[in-house]
Amino acid sequence: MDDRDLITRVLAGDPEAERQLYDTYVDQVWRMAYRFAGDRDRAAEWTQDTFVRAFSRLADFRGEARLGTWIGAIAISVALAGVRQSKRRASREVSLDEAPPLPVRERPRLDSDLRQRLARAVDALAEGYRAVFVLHDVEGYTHEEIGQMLGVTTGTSKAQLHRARGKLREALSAFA
Amino acid sequence: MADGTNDELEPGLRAMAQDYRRPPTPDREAMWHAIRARRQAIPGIRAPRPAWRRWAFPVGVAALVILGFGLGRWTAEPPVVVTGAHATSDLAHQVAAAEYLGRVEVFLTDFRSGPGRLPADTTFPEQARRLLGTTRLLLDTPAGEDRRLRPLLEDLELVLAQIAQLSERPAGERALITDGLDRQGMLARLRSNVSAGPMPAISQGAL
Repeated sequence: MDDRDLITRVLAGDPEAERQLYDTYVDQVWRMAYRFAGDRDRAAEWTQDTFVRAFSRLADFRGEARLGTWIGAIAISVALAGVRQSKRRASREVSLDEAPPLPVRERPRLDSDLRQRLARAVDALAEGYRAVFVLHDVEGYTHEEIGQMLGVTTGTSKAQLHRARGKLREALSAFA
Repeated sequence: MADGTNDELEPGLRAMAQDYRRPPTPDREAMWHAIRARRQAIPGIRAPRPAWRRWAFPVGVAALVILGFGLGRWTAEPPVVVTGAHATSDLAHQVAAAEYLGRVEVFLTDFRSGPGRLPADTTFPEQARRLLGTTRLLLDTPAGEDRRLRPLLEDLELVLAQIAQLSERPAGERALITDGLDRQGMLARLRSNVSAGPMPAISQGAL
């Protein structure tokens, strides 16, 4: 069954089609949510939010992109909103005295150090850079798909990826 | 992976990037049950509506807004006086949100009624990209936590993202976006928020 048939059946209220749509895209949405959330609870919450929104707006889907890209756009919108909300909450709740100390510069020792540093450097990227880096270099989406998900041109997506990689190389330069 | 940026990530880094917050196996059944429960608690999927019904919702909303405005004026209590830094900040965000909603309303009205010149005309996508940036900034402010405003901002985020992509997509899609605008009653919702105004309270000495 192709996406169009599936959508038609879901809109007609077919519960099996709803489940099929969910089964088809849940792993994609979950991966994306987890990469931005970093923990199971929030990733599960964002995955649910994504599908609730997707089902409620399915009648608006016109096939201008693949269904997976359209659901991905909702997932990334939910995830980025969640990240912003978490940042706001953290900035309100953590005073300077309670804030964790800045990471101390140490001599690189192991491969795991580099892995951790890379993770921290990705976390520290600006929202747009991080989104493009995670979607392209981690999840493997094309620039065209990323453009459709984020509402930017493919040129912007490429430029942001270039800058994100530059920032990451800079952050990891001690290991070079 | 060829990405057109001419600065491929080093293979070692690329492999490590795959471990960035590597997702565990999801609990698909639990999430599905939660989604079903939430969907049963709220109105479900909107089925496609016949053309004559497209205007029913916006017209109904407009009538309710007018009725609500009248009742509000009639039953209005003296305004609450708010002071202090929070009031200044909230007021600033509300003013910014109201100014932004006004601009989006003008833009979408123009987009909806303008001639079908796209995709050759790049004015609309450029404007949409700028407004999209503002939308995302607003979602990041206290205005984005407003229960009345947030759903509208989220819907606008998607619509503006669609318009921002117009120049890269086949012609004819503009009509589909316009159709979506009508079915969501977007302009009516915008106008009701604009007419509701930015200031629910008088902020003494805030400005």
